[in-house]
Amino acid sequence: MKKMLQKRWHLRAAMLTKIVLRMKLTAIIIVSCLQVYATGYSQDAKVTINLQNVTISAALKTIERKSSYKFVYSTNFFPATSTISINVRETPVSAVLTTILHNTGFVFKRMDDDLIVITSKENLANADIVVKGRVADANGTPLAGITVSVENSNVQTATDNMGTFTINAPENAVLIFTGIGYTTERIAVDGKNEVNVVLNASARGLDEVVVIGYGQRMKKDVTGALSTVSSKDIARSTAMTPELALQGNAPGVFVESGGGEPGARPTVRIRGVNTFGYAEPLYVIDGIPIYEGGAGVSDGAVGDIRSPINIFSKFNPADIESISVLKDASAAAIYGVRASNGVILITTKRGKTGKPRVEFSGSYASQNIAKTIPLINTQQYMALTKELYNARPDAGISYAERFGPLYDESSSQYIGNNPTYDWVGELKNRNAPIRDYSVRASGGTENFNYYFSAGYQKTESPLKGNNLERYSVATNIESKISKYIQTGLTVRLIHQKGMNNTQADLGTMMSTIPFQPIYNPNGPHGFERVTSGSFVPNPDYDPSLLNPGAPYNFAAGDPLLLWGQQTRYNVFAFQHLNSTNYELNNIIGNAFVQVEPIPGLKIKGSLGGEYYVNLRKQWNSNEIWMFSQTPQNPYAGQDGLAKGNYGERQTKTPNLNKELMVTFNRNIFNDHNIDILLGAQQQEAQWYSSGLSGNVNYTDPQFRSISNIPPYTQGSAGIMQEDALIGYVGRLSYKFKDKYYLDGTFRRDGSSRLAPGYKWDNFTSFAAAWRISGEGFFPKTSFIDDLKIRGGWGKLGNYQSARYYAYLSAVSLTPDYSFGSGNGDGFGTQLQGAALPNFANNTLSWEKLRTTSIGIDAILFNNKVNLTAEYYNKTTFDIIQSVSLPPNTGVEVPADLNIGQVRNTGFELQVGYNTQIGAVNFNAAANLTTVNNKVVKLYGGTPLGGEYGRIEEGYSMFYLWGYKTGGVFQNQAEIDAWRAKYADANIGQSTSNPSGGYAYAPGDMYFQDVYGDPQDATERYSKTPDGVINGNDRTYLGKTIPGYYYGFNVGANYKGFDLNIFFQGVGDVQKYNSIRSGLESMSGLAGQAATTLNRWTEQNPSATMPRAVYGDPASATRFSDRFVENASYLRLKNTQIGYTLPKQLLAKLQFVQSFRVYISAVNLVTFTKYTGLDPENDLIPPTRQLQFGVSATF
Amino acid sequence: MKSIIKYITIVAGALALTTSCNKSKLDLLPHGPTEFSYFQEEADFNKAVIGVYAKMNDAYWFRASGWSCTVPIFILPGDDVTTTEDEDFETFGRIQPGNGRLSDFYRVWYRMIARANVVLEKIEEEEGIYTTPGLKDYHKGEALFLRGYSYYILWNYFGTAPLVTSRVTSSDQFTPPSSTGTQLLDQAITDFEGAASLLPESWSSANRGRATKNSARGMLGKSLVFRASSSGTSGDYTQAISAFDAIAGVSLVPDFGDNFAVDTENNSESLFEYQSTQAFAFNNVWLDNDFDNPIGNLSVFWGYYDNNNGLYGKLPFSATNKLAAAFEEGDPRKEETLNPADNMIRKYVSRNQLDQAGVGSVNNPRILRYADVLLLKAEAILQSGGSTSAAIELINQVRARARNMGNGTVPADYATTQTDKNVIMEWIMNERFLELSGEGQRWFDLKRWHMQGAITLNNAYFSSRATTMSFEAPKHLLFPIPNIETDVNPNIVQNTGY
Repeated sequence: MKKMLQKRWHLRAAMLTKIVLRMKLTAIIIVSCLQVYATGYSQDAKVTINLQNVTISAALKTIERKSSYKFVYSTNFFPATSTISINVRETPVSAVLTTILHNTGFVFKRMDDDLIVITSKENLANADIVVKGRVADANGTPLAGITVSVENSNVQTATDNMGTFTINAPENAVLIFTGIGYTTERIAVDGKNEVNVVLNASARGLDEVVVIGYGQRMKKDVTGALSTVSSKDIARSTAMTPELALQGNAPGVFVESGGGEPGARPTVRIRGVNTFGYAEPLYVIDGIPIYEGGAGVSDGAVGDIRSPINIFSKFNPADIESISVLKDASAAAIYGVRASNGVILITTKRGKTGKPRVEFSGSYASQNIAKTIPLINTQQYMALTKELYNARPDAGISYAERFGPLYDESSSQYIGNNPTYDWVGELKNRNAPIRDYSVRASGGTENFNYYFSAGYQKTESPLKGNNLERYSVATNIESKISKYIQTGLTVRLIHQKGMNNTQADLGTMMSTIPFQPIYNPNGPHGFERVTSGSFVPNPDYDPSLLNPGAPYNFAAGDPLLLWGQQTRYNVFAFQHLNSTNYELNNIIGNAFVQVEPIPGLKIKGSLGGEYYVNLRKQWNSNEIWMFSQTPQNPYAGQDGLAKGNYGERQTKTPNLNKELMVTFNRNIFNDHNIDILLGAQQQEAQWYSSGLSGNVNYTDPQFRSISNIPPYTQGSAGIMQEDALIGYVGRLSYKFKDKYYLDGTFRRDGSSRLAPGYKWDNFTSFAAAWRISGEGFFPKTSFIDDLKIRGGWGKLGNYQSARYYAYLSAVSLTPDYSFGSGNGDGFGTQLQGAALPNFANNTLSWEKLRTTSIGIDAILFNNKVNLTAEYYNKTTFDIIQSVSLPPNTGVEVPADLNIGQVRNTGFELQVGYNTQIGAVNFNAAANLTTVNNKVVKLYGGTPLGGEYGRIEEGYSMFYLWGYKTGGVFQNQAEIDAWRAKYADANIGQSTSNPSGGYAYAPGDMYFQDVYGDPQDATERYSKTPDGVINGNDRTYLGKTIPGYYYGFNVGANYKGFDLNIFFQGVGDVQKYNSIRSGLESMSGLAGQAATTLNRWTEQNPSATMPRAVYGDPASATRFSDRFVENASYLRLKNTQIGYTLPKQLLAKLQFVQSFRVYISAVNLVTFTKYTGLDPENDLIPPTRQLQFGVSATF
Repeated sequence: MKSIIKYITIVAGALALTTSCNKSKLDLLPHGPTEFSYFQEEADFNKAVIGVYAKMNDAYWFRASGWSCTVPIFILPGDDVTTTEDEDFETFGRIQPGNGRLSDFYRVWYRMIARANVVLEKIEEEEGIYTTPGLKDYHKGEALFLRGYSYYILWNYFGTAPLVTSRVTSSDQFTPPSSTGTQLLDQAITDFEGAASLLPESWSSANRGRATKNSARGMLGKSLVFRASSSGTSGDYTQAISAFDAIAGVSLVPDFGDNFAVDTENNSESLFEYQSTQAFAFNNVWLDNDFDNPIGNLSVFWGYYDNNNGLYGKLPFSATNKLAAAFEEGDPRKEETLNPADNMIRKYVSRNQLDQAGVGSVNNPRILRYADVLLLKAEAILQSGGSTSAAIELINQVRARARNMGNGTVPADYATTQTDKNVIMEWIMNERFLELSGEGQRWFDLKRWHMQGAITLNNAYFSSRATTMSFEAPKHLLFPIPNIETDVNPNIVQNTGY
């Protein structure tokens, strides 16, 4: 037996040689190779041989020599005593073989175009038969796309649109029918040629295959915490970017939309927020970890270079098959040092065996901003400004003097009678369209499958000036070159054009003064000017200098703002004159070769990568000064001829990923299954940036080119970021009888970003699960169909909070000093110096996350209900905190040290329900996640961050920190009583000097005395109030990490109609309404909200809205709970009604397989107490959309 | 079986070719200079030394945030300059460890020390890079001098701040303990001694302004006098005298006013100055001084004297009534020092050169000048029991220069026959007051004379024009160690009273 086994292995090994030979060809052009393969079985070669009395083996060897064939057989098939003679000329090999093997009991079978297997007749007798059949659901509706596979083999196919399939299977085989959303059926062939199957809808298929790190697994076998979102849910989202499809659909995954901008970046946080450093999850798309230069940085120069366009908007969500979110260490540890914030695995669609399938989907949506905040009109504005100035005039200066003739009723320039101009409405791009079309073609045979797609999407921003357009092409092909070797290629080309020219947000528009006009038919370009001014020649202008100065300067006294102190720039003129456009080109691809030398052992090498180019083209017209509230001399840095400044900036991100994975999966003694993964991965990525800008002497947009910009050119170039990562992974999974599961994961990772000696670390996790329902003692009659308890522990890392090269001492060449002054020269010569300003942290390591997670998965009530409940506890250690070292060290820039500690705990609950009531199929699902976030440790216990996001030990990260309002003084007696006890140091008051500082008037707002000054050096403030309101009284006002978030949807199908209603919400969260703090400040000349009409006046006392007073002397607009609001919301995210045309109707059309039309409403209603435009985004809120769509299959 | 392994190996190898992991790929390096790629030639060392000097920019100009210019710390605490503004360093009582100005001030000197420590370490490590004869010693001397000067300042203001004499390269070094006694001053003395032996007598005219042997000798002597007056070690006086005696080639300039004028910087009387200048083409005064070449600003902020300070919303600093009254009738220094009509300080301002209207000045503050040395030497001679006439002679040199610049006889020479040490000490103290007022020297003198017992500062009001003076000795003789240090360094003992 052993010998036989060896022989068989030998046989396969022999094949391997040929495989390797062929790989060369394969590697060059996979597609052409596939064509060769497809034509297959080339013409039977002919041989001429003359052999007398040789053994059969010798004859076969001769034929092998004379032809390109290889024979596979065992030498002990043919005893040496048995000889043959043969003499043929130009005879086909098949004929020769038939002769040779005649009466030997052996037959031959051509396995491949040059491979012939010789085997016994008995084996052949057990050969495959053709099995056909049809798969339908309980209603008899044919089910397409159901996978039909032969048990214990690699043979599989899928049903076509009529639910039919054809498969070759041994007579005694068992066919397995699996499909998402249906229970799996196992049917024995028993020699039948036709197998018809009815699949029942399952609540959530236990046999559903889900994507895990470096592999796939059946849902019932999963031990870690992961959420999956299928293409069905993704298709419901109208967003350009896939992350939004997770919102409300995946427990444990918090998604906050970045607002209504098409390119906006959503915030994704998995199970709380782990760090105040880099908190983004890792995205892996078809095995390629995505790398984004500047990721995690939203402001400053890096944020600017990163550009405002979300990198993930490049993926057409229609191409996505599924998204898996790995939430705990046992699921994510395989991604090691990048996994602590969770891993989002995106798998794109692939062709399925069966007839070619062409799908088209198209939709058109129209979007609008749902809410408008009422503002005061020009007349109310004039009354307000007059009132606020009279409440606190400057000594001896009248209202009109203070604010100028525009505000002076007696002046001819008085604007109090102007109409009110709707800046907000004007900025809105009403009914902004989203067009989305895509075509997908897919199909395959047992040995080859393909998927091609092309898509176009264009989304306009709900605000004028911005849009994002995407062309995408994707190819996925996979081929089984032989039984032992498989290759695949994924290529994705994306071209995006983004116009980014809005130049304002709604907050800016709301605070614009209501009387300032926008348009003027006689004004430049049809706009009303903002600034006037004239120019005079500059006597110091010297064009021979590198920095020549300006040829013209503003004339004395110019420029003048035309609309008073509060003049706002004319954003619409800016949009007209300036332009900022992005062009993004991206290629992302992955090729693999997988070899399976013995069943269950797979060796897979893959090479993937991405090249991302982001080009920004920016034009700033010199005429813009006329429309600017801060007019700049347009002639600076040029020769007086330029019409504007043009710049191009390009960033390039090459990202190369190499992997070698070996997996082994085998049943031992039937009930024991082991699954081993071993592999290595290496990734290299860079982020380059280069830019050039300068003045262009032409107005024609055609000449906005960097070739037209000398001599006043400015440029920059450099490598912004660079990363290399090497990881070795291992996973050992064991299961016994589908009842007991053990998983151990190991990863060893090295990162270029960390200090030598600390570059490498190990990440391990363990998980175990017990399917109690698989036990004999488990009552069969119970309402529980399936019950699994699972738990896991593990360690994950995060290196991305570390600054680049924080372990090296960089040389700063910026310090300057001067030498040589004296003898009448007071200046000397300024010289460049050098310094080593940073602390080279040569022990810098990564952030470490330890997670524990315990959960149960259950299927209840006859597969109608599924339930997952989970508890998680995660602690991040060694958070890389950028700290200012004690000054004695002389270190000049904050050093990255591994210090902080943050804990997240919470529960997740997911429930699904599925039932059939007559002809109605009804389903519902809900999920809820709770988050309890707490900062455990900080450097020296010293809090970080300011009022908008305070990080302090014992509190939720990024909490709101500020003053508590006391109330509004209604009369002088209240003021006197308060002042007798308290003083507000922020407005100059002191307890010792009752007359010092600002003297309150009725209607002023006052604040609470919460704490006292520190009593000793050990405390930052004293818990005992001290009567003085100062910085120490700032306290907890609310948290910005939601305490819980949830989503639920209900759906029903009846005949051809389908309905789905999806809600999503966030709770236990507060938000500082900074727009309202400006619109209700009532202290200056900015435009105000209509709510200020309820301000405190003697006639109309208010307890919450203080009086209007110039300059806000009581500091009522300080960061306080006055503007902190409950930002919880419940949103009717999506309502969709669809109708699928009956098959009978389509049958007449012949070529159309299915046709569905639908209409959906996105963000139809939002229930919230938040008074701003939207609890998710105040500036450019998520839009309300009405969408019409069709999808068809041909 | 063997061949199976062989074939698998071939396949695996073929795949591994495309996926090979090379650990050295992790050794990425930045695309700008780092410590390891720098320090390859003399010029690199020279720049590093310039970098140490450059840190002084922060002490004389002001930082970007919160107008926390440190100049008031130099000039307000004494009894020569005052302001009616409720300014912490004038009134003392509210100086708190959280004071932003003081924190910045404290930080500047440690950064200078850190830069000096880097230079010293790198010079120690280098082999064969220096080829110019003597240059290595000069550079080392400059680093020592600047570190010594930093410790001299830290000792005078904070007394017990930590002592750091090597580069901080590991986290164990983050939290050194408080120093005690004269430890900081001792270090300054050691550094100045080292510098005096290493520095050149003079530099080329292009390098004028760098520390010389005389700079080090002067600061050495001064520090020794300070140590003697605070700890009563009389040997220090003798050593100070010999340090002063070694000063060569330095003389009082004929015109007292040349010490405060932009066109007579680095003159023969000057031993060490802060070298202010106008920055390159662009001049952004709102930015940190020690910043980038095109935008930084190396000028000095005399706005507090200039009465052109609407920018800062602060009242100008003026001379105290005490100072205005202290000049003898006819002492020409009075008119050079202040405007008798309104007591506004004129030093540094009257022959100023502004680099940007009302903001910065390129006029160097004189840190050590020969008149100071002469008076210190007189004090050292007197206190160490030397010749009283020799001491008086030195005072008279200063008085004679002042007198000669005018056309009178005031201030007249003191009689060299006076032998009452207390009288002569009074003369020295008075002369230092008149000669050095408004130059940021007075507070140090008052403080050490109080420690010495020559004067008492208890409940002094420093002739302040502020109404809220609340000086307490000994508490206010030392300023608090700033919170930025104590908050994160548990080994620091806060100065008494804070």
